[in-house]
Amino acid sequence: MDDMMLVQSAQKGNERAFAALVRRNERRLYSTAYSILGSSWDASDACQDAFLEAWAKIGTLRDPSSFRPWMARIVVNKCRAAHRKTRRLVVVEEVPEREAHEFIGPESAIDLADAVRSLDEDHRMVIALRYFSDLKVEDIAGILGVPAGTVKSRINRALRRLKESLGAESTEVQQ
Amino acid sequence: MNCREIDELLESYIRDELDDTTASVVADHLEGCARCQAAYEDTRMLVGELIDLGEAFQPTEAWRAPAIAQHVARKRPVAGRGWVAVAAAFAVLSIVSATLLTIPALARQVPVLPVARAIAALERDAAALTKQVEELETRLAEIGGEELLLVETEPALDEVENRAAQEHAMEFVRAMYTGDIGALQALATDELAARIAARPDDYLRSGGVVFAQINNISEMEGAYWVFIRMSDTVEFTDSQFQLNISLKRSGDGFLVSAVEMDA
Ligand SMILES: [Zn+2]
Repeated sequence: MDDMMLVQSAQKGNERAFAALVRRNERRLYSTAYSILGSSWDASDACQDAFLEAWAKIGTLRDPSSFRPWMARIVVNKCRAAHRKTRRLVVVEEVPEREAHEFIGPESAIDLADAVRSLDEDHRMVIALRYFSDLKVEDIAGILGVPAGTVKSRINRALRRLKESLGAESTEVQQ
Repeated sequence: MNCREIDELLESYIRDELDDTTASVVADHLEGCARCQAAYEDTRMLVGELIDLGEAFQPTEAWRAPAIAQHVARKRPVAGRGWVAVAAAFAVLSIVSATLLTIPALARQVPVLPVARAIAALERDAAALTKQVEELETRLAEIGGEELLLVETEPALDEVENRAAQEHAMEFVRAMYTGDIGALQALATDELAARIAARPDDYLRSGGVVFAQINNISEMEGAYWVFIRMSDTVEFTDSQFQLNISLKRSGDGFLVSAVEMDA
């Protein structure tokens, strides 16, 4: 069953269909939130909140094929709310020792994860939405409220920076 | 098209998002240009690795339920019997009411969601605290022109001062909603006033506000604290929360020295 059928089924109130959607999309959405927030615990909270809100509002999703961008938008909004909350907290809580995830990728991906983490927020955000959430440029533009051209140039700049920090051979054009 | 223009299109080409004409221009260029062919390979590999990286973090579920319980426990250091009771009660009430029980029936209906398990764990924790909570006297009281549920803890101040401190805190909250930076600063210590000047947005909130609950002033490490539970018209889970307001004595009255926001 593809996402679209699961969405349609969830819209009719089928909880198991929604649960399957959560399972399918959990990792990508979590990676997106983690990349934006930089804290695994905050990312996990944001995803939990986002899934609950999605279940509450899934009936309002008009085009079932746009579930992924719709869901990503909810996650991004939760991340923004988490940012606001963190800023307001005067007392800073200690950082927990454990992360809220297990890294199950290949060891070779750790350097790449570090390189993504070292990008500034704008570039981290487009990388997260483009690859972790696997969205189209137009969808990202809609979520971020910037023109598609801006998203494209941020993606290209982010990719260049990642290549640089991974020490890949420079492919800069000599003019 | 020159190599630099091709460079800008490679990512879209790899994701198959170019129109046919542009895609075939890129394909033709790659065929005849070793430099761009290499750049294409590099980018294609990186894009593939990034897509895979999106699946590389498996959120763990086991920690979630205890994490929320821990969150309650390590909310802040506790001192004094009255404080323990009220801090625990408020922490549980705020987490249960705002984070999880916003749509509780819903969460339970979704069996795979860790939050359903978290609720079960929290309810057990909450049961243990229920006794403490029940021991707290509550009554409706009119404070600062609002009818509020007053949670009576071991008072740190006499009745008149307690009332004055509560009203001072509520005046501060009202100024957060009217956007009156000057009023906020006038109600705050110099130190907090400076923080407000530096980041006014952190201390402003929009929408209408409804006050729900307030506690007697508690004392901790020389500071007085009051918790105000409230809600406003900001959408969804962000709309119900608790402000923890710390006050210091100043002359005959009080000044706000810190503000925390809890879920
Ligand atoms: Zn070329």
